[in-house]
Amino acid sequence: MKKLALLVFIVLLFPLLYSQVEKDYSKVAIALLKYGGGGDWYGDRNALPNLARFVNQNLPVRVSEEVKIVSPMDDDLFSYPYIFMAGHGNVRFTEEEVLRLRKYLTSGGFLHADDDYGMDKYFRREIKRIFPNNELVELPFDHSIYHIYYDFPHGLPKIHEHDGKPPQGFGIFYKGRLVVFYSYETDLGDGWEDPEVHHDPEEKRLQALKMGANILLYSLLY
Amino acid sequence: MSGYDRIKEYLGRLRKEVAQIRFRTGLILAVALFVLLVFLVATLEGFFYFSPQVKKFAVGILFVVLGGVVAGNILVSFAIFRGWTERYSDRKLAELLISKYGKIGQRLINVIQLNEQRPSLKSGVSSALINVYTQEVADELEDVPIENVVDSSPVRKAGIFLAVVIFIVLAVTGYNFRFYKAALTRLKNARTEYEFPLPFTILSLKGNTQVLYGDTLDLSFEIKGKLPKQLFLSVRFPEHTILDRIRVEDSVVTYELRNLRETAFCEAFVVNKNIFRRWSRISSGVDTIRVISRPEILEYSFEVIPPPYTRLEKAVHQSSNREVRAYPGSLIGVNILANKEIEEGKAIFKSGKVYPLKVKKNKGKFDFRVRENDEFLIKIYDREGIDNISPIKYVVELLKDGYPSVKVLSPRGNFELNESMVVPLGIKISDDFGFSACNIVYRFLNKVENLDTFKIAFPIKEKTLPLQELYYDWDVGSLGIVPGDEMEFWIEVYDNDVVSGPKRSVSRKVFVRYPTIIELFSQVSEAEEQMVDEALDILEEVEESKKVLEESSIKLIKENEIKWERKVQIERELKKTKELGERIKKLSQKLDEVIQRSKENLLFNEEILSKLARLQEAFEQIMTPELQEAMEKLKRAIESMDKEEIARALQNFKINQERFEKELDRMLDIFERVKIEQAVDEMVKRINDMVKNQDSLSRILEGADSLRNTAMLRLANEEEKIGYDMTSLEDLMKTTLEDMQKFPVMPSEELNNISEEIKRMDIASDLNEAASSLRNMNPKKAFNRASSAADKMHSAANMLEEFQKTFKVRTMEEVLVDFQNILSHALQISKEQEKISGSLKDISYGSDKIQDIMVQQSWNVENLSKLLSELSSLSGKTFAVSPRVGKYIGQAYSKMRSVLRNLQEGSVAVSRRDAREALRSINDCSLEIMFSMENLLSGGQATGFKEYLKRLQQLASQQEGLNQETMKLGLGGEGGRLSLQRLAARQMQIKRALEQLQRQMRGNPDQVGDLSGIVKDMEKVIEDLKKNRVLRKTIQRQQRILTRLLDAQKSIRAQGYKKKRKSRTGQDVVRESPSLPSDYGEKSSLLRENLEEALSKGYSADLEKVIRKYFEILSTEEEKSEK
Repeated sequence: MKKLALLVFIVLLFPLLYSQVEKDYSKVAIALLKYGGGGDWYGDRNALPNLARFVNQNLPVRVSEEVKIVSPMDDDLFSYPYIFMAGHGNVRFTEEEVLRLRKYLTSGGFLHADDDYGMDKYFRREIKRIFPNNELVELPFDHSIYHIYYDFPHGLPKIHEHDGKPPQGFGIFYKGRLVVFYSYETDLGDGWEDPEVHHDPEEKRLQALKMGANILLYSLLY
Repeated sequence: MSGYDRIKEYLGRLRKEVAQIRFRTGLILAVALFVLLVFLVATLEGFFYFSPQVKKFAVGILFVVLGGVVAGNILVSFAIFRGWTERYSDRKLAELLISKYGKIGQRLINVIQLNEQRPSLKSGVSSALINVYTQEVADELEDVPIENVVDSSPVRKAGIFLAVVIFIVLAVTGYNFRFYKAALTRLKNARTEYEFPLPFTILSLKGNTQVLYGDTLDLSFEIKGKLPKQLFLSVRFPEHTILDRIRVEDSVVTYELRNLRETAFCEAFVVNKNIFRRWSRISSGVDTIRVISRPEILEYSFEVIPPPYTRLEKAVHQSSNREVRAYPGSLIGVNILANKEIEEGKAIFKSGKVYPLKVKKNKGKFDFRVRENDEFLIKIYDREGIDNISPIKYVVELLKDGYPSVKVLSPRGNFELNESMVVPLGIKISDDFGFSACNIVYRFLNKVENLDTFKIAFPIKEKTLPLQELYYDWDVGSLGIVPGDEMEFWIEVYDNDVVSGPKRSVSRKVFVRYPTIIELFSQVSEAEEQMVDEALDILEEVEESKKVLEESSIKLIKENEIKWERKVQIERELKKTKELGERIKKLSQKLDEVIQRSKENLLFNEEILSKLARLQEAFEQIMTPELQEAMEKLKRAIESMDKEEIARALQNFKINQERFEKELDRMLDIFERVKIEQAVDEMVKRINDMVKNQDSLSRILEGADSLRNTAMLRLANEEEKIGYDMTSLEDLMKTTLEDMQKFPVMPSEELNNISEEIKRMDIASDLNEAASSLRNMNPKKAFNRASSAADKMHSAANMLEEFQKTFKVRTMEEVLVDFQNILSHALQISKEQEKISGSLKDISYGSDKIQDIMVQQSWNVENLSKLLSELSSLSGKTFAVSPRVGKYIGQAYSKMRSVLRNLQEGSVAVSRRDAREALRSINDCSLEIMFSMENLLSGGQATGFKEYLKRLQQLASQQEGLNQETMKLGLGGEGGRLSLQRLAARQMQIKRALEQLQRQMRGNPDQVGDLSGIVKDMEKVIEDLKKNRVLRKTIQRQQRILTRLLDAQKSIRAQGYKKKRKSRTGQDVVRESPSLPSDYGEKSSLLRENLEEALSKGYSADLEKVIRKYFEILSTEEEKSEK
């Protein structure tokens, strides 16, 4: 009887042992922000793991290549020092989400928003709700985000053409700290995708990855 | 005293006398000699002007001689006195007595001899005798006076001689008293050099003089005395000497020295070559001619400080450059270095300005500001007031600060506004130094009452960058632009020249128009017409190609082998087909542009737009992979020149070409229908737009008494315009009616009635009258007419809106009726097939029922063909018909044919099976038709995208939640086994929902996306969870499921993407860096801070809401008060 009980115990325990999913706590976790409003928040899902891989291969930080999806109301929102959002369309946060995001960003979090084309007016509207007293200001080319690891003397690289405008990097500063970085008219996320997706020249992909690495590193250090 | 002593004494006295006489004589002669010598020397001196050395020597000699003679005389006399001389020994003296006193003399001599020889006398000589003898003589001598013995005549003679000499000397000297006086004086001053008196003197009249550097000097010499024939002039320079011979003709001799640059020494002289003349050279003496250097500027340097606005660095130029080039307003500092100390200086400009120099030692400087072209030179003065000659002239040349330039990059040509009311401006500005302002200058062209130009600033962040590309979205929404308005704008840019004033340049003018809604519709309509024409052309060409290929097919059968011309013919048709495909792709692009334009200007509703989008996609995909493969196969077959292969490939190609033609035809049909739907939509929009404008006009006219004439004219124009629009609308209705004739089901009758009714209203007439009244300045009448027109237009709008609803319903009904008919037919065929299937169960080979069954099956085949053609017809009306329907029909058809064949061959079992499969296919087909109908009904449109998308979103969201929970449990979260089971159940639910969705959307498999693999993954996940396993693979599968769900949504949305969203690699842009505002965009708000503080206190959610509301109100109040 005892033997049987022991056997049952082991059998029950076995799956639990196997179900341990490895989690490497030594790596920084980054996340993709899921938002409401109907926009395609999931558009750059493969892009982020590529960015993480690039960072691990080339920078002295370790980032988890398993990119999480996080909503503003998730409990583990604050576990991610860097969250990324992109899309082509509408973005809408509920009131609670607005407050939660503000709390996250003012408590040390960092949001990188990348306009895939079409998200601009919605993002601006929503970020204004989160930071009503803070303007999105264009960062000068000598800002450290453009030089923290790789040098971009002319600011953001232009990855994809949208409306024929120059690429711009905007930021929201909260008490002197850059908490939101918004890349517009460049589509960095597309640049992080696998080469066969957009068939961009390798140089362009590299530029996008390098800039992404800069932003990620900046978010971790500042 | 002995006699001898007495004789000695006497002799001594005699000797003394002789000595004295001798001495006196000698002395007198010495004096005479001296006098003579003196006289001689003086005479010689008088003639020859001895040198001091000679004189000293002569005088010395004189005194030496004198001294020598005197000394000699004294010596001789003393020697005589002492008897040292033989000549005046005792004996000789005794001889003197002989001459005068003969005997005594002789006796004396004897005495002397005796006494001298006494010692040596040996005998016979008595000493006493000698003594006596001596005494006697001595006694005798006493009586001889010495004076008588000695001849004193030499003294007398000497005296006489001296006297004579003196006399002569005195006589001569007395006669040439001056001569000798001078000579003796000169001799007396033996050390002094006395000039020999020259025959003439040369006197330099200039003497030491100084001249200025480069000057000419006239030398002149005066000759006093006997003029020489010539004289020499020596001018000695440091490096060379001029020696010139001048003929003397006058007592004054002149000589010119030109361009004196160095100090020189000049001397005029005459050289004596005659040895008998005492002088060797007569000179004027050396005069010094000092050349005084003028002050001279050795170095210039210029410091050019450009005006601050240029931000140019200052430059320093050296004197080698005689030009100073600078921008107006530049400050030029001139520094000079002179060869000597400067007392003062000034710069003299050609323009008349004079600037004093600040001097210090040999340096000087001055500043001036450049305003115009000019020239200047610098004069400096030394302490003596001497200035520099021929100063260098410097030219001041103004550099031109060029005009700025401005180029409009976008819009490229004329621009049409759309609903966004934004003109995307891109400009390129350049200037040598920077800008002070940039403006957009615009004016309206059609507003006759206000043709002024207006300006708004074009923002330039960095004004100092000389070359910039700037982009600015100019929102013209606030300018009060209405459809039909035209304006032009240009960019003016000013440079930052603060010295001469900013210079202005302007760009080309850009014409901007806000097209009226009618124009927009017209453009769309025109484009669509062109597309239809093009599509028809393509169809025609396809038809021709088909004929050619058919002909080729027939000939191919007849010919034994492939002929070259056949090959060429087929290749040509292949090429044509490819080109047709390209043309259709272009059509697709054009349609996309139409869609975008329509979207931007909100021309059509969502439904029409989605139909157009669907059409556009269909156009794009018309060159199906099967057709392309068929073309490729044919091409390969032709290359192989294998007749059989070509025949097969040609057949295959023809089939696909047929499909291509049919598909194109179908799309054209749908397009025409959509166009009609568009036209109906357009009518409603246009009438509503006109109503809005008319209402607005009427309101203005209501209080129109105080309107100015120009305003009334404008309103008249507006009214007329609405009138034209109304006419145009009526034309549109007429055209739409004509188009509707092709489609009997469409409510053309109703439209016709409405058209007639509107015509009867004669709205245009009211509008024209209103316009006319306004022109006649009769606003009241105009108002009446305008109001009447407005009322009628409202009525017309209502009618059209009703018609629009009717139209939608009718078109929907038409499609649904067709669907129902088709479904009914399909069910009938299914029923028949079931019967056939049932019949086949009970029969065997050779049964006589086989024939009947075959007949039934043949009828069913025929009915199936009819069904297919009905479906084709329906496909030409809506996209709701899924290709799967056709596929199932095809399968059913094939199986039915197989039944017939097998029955003929006697294979009953096979035909039984085929019959069953045919039945299954027909049933599947019926299901597909039902799903399509459901879809159509649920979406209210032929597509159903929205619902599908929403459902997918929900499923994705559910899946995501499930994934997260699985992850948590996988980490050893609480719940364990039971929780996993619950998760399995949830996954099962999602799977079922997805399958149902799949079934629903089977009418549009392309829209469904890649859902096929999702279900399989879900099944595996369910299996794992049921087995209480959460493996890495499980998690990965769940992730994959979610990704696919999301990708499926994405593929739907991708249909709505603009063409330009297709990724196009961007080109890097180099531009000036923006700058951060000083506040980093942070505007501190006490309210905000307080709110955050309040919310951090941990109040309940309801209370937090109240707090937020309170702060919101406060914030609004704050903003209002700020405004």
